[in-house]
Amino acid sequence: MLGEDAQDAIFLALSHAARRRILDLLKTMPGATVNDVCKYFDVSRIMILKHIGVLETADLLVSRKVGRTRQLYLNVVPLQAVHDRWSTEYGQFWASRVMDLKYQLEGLASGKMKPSNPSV
Amino acid sequence: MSELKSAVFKIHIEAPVERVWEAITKEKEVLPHFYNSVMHTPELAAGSPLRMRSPDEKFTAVVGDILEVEAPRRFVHTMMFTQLEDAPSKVTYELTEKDGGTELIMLLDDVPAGSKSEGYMMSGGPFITETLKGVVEKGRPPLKHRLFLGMIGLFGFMTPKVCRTENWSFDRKIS
Repeated sequence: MLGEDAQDAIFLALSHAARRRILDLLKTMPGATVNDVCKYFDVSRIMILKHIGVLETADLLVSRKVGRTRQLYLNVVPLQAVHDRWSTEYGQFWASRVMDLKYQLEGLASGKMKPSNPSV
Repeated sequence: MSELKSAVFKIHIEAPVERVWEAITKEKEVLPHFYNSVMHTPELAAGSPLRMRSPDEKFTAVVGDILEVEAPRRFVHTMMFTQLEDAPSKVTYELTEKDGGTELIMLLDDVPAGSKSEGYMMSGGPFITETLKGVVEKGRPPLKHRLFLGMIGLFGFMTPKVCRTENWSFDRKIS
């Protein structure tokens, strides 16, 4: 279990849309550089570096120096710990089933998916 | 050749670096953080083969070669799942003293994107780091991982023949 200070840092980091977007980018582009991330934003590099610093303090982002570049990675471990705080084994199973159903129904409603036998 | 991916998993463990190192590199003992497997190697040194085997040694789930051993800070080895045909990936453990404990970074490199190995390794990252933290700090894995370990024990009979240890001696080269 994470301490309250660590959890404060996580929720603070997640409370800004730009920081959540940075984590989205790192999920799809693990090892991206600061320059890579900057390309997706209209704000200054300094602002992006500040966001990266907040994410790093919360351990949601890990940066590694490789030669002269700095590679950025998403760290999912603290998110897993936050998730575990409020979920039980059985609750986790059913919550994931309910989410599957939601995605299936939303997919059907938007016409992106063909009807299939729902797994629930 | 498919695209290769990397991933990083970082966790803080309330224990000295030496204890975390010991848990990662321990031989001939069942390791819950490595899915209840036992690590076998002729020598814990660069160039040696590494095999993760079932406690009864009948099956070998993961094979690789040790690339770096720098006790108690850095351990690097290649790894591939014997039941899959994906190329080997690289795993790096970096241990640093921090705030009276250990900051553990587990780095995965050369993971074939979109492969089954990728799925196993991405879900393995949180499992290994969280279980390791539980084992080192409290002597046992977190409850949810204990339940999972109990389940994999029950399904052992389903292990494919390709994973039998006679197919994965130390002499077999891992491409």
